[in-house]
Amino acid sequence: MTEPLVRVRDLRVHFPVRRGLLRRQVGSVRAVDGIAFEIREGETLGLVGESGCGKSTTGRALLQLQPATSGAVTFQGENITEMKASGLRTTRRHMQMIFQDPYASLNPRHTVGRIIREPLDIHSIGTATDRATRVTELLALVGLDANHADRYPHEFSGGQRQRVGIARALATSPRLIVADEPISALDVSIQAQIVNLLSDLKQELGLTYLVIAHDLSMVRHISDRVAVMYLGRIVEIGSKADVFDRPLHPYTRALLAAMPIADPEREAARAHTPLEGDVPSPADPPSGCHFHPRCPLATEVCRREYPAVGTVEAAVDSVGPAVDKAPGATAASGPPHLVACHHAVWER
Amino acid sequence: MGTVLEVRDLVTRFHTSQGVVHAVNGISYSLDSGESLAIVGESGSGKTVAALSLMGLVPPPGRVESGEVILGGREILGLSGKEWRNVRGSEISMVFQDPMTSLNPVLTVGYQLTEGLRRHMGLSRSEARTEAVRLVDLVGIPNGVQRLASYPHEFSGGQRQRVMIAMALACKPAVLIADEPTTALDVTIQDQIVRLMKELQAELGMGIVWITHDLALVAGLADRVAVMYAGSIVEEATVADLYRRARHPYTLGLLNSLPDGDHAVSSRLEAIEGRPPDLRERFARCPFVDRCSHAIERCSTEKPVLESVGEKHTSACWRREDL
Repeated sequence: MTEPLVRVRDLRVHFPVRRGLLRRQVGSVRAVDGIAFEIREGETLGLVGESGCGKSTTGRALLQLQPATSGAVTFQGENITEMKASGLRTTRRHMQMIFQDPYASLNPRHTVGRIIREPLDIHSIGTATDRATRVTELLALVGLDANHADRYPHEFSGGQRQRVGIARALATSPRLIVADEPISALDVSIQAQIVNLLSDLKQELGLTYLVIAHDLSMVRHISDRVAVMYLGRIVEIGSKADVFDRPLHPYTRALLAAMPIADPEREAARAHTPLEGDVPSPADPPSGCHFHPRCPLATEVCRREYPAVGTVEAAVDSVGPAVDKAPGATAASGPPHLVACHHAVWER
Repeated sequence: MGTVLEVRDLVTRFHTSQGVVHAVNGISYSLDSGESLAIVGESGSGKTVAALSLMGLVPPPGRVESGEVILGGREILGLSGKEWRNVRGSEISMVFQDPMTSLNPVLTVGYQLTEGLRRHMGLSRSEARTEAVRLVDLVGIPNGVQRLASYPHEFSGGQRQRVMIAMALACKPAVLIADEPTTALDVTIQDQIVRLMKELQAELGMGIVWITHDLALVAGLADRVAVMYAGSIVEEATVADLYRRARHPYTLGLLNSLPDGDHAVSSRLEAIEGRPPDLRERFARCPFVDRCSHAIERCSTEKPVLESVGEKHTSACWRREDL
């Protein structure tokens, strides 16, 4: 098997909490607290979770827009957390970001042409003529007209601005795109346009995506694999089918149960108890498994220790032969379905 | 179960320096007590302005130009400022999208909650206090007495929205307008708030107008749905009919653009191409014609009106019978 494009090992990003006159550090917010995952070339990994779970910080740390406190991010075989600024700049050509808010992430004083050209200028790619040609090419690629290059962001709608943001991200021909909530600021009828554009571009250009989102139905649509985060940690990761059809972590199950279904009959037919309580503060996470105060399955061990991340088979073996193994979980290809829960159980 | 709210031919416009914006172009609907009506639309469809019009809260340069709003048998659009204050909060109230910007950050939650009770219900300070404790308990906030002394920033987003709901329900209004009350919340918290509001509705019997862009959410909370586009209602139906037998191309487009949960990675969503029209235009044609794959000659020359396509089901489309 070839080396994955991205490999994250025990990544931590902590933000200091300072108080008082001397701004003494009194604690830290553990936004990302020891996560590990891989993204293979050509794959889309969806990263889901609620606000404050650390999913955006993970995306930023992946590009080293946010320095890691500890741990390693390996991209194309090189550990970028140890890179010097110049090396990092060269590497960043190959990894780009699409932001949530197309109103805030484009400079209102620059023309669209200049916005899209800027990464080429920064990385000194091609001559002035080459760059102009490339801008026209990129505009066409994302479904805008060549004459849009002379206009300013305010002349565009939200969906068109997001297309500009995508064109800018593609300018340097990156291999990896981190898309942080790429459609959540857009109207429903426009969201589908952008999702289609992202999947077309992936096919055409062979891109690899990390898509960060809270909208589970969109993640389900565009991802190959899905990771679920809760309070700075990945609680479950697996193929889309694993996570959506055979969820093992009680939090994943609660998220899926809370997801509205666009069908009145199915919606009326299902019964579920909503998850109680709020997401605790990452500055003061609960002891043991961070999810235990809201978890219907929590026992003494959950309050005491954080569960090790294990495969489905390990979880199933530990609860004995009465429980079936998840079908497909043992499939030889692809990374395993992993879950961090003391009580993860596959039910038939 | 009588009609508590009736809106007839409501027109609201904004007179801006760039021209007149036709935000709401003559919408009509009615709401029974205990019923949930969802008004669905994208940004700029006029759904929020329509709601603010009912509350007498349209910000300048906007103005309700014509129409009638009959609340509990009485026309309310012509009320004076003082009369409005008696109606607003007691007979009709509203829960907004962002609870942080709709609560006053420098006053305690208890103060804000008792203000309306004393104003509308004529309760004394201590009676209002007792009632406020009962209300926060009703909306599922534990330790009511202590929490009432807290400021809005000391609550989480979900808890703040519970406070807003408690405030909106304080005077037992006949009609509650919920403008995207869960959009700013996480999905598990959204689930809690929706359930809470449905329980409270069953208990208190108020009619709720849900304003939202989220068609998936609507499936679980509304009895009837009105779809708005460019300031007009283009389709209205019971929730089951709308999802099974939508009869307007825009509604169909919205439903088709939702991911249906199949697992084919490469499958494409059916997007609605183009974007909503400029509302400075006064439509003499169908406002959706530029984006519509079913459009015929007539759609560009004549604006369709809502007509019946079945029991309690109307559609504003010249091709409603062919869809």
